Amino acid sequence: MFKHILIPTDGSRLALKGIKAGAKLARALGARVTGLYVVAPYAPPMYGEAAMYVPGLSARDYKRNGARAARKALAVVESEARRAGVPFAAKVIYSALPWEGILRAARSGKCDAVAIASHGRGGLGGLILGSETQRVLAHSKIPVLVVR
Amino acid sequence: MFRHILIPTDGSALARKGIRAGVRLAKALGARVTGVYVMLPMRPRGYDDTAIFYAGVSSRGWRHSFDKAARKALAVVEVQARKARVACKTDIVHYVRPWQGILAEAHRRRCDAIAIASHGHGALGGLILGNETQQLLARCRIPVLVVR
Repeated sequence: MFKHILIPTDGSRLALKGIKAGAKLARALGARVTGLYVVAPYAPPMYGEAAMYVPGLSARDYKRNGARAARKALAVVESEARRAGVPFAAKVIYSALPWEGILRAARSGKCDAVAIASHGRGGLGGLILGSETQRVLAHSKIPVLVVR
Repeated sequence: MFRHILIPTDGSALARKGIRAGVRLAKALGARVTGVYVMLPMRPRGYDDTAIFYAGVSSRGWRHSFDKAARKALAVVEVQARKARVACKTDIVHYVRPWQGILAEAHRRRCDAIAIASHGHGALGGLILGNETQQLLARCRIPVLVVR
């Protein structure tokens, strides 16, 4: 049914649930998976008075930190994919909005499904605290497997 | 991966998308499906001034009018499942809120996944317009495949 499942991760424990479900689904359907980590683009430090007290992160340090976090998060997806015995590819995307990065990656990678976890705050809680999964759902054109 | 997929329907064209995806997934995984239609419970007519002017619907009339819609909606699930050669059962449940009925049915039938369509309004739109899928996602403990 699905041939290529996108599994976004932010390295959190919640994301692990989505990773496990995505890998299992891929195994059952004979699909391949792509693990995705979205990094926010570098924001240059302010040049106000605050800049004197807050040591900003240089662009190079920022990039290195992002790459390290991405490697760590994607290694989890890779190990789950390997355990499930499904083909795996890793992808890092730069986007200020995680959901936008996820959908862009799904489009460019021609994925036909997304597997993602959700903390499951509905209604007002979701509105205030923000749920990337809900935003992905709102904008996605492909099916999304939401795991709790 | 999933053994028993719940497919809620309200008979709309949108729900049809969820049905199609749910049945396809069930076929790919060798799972069975249960179609469910959530019906409003009969409200007894009010005994105040308005009752004089408004001829209330009898309990039988109420059920009759909904039963037809429910059977029609569930027939779609049955036809799709038969076409895909997937084992299928259908149920009608009575709840005020659709998501309550869906969750209760998933629990009662021990489904391990739900396939459902969503019109995909965002957080704010969903809050105003009411989005059963979002309500469901906020409370559901089993994975949900959301289709657009």
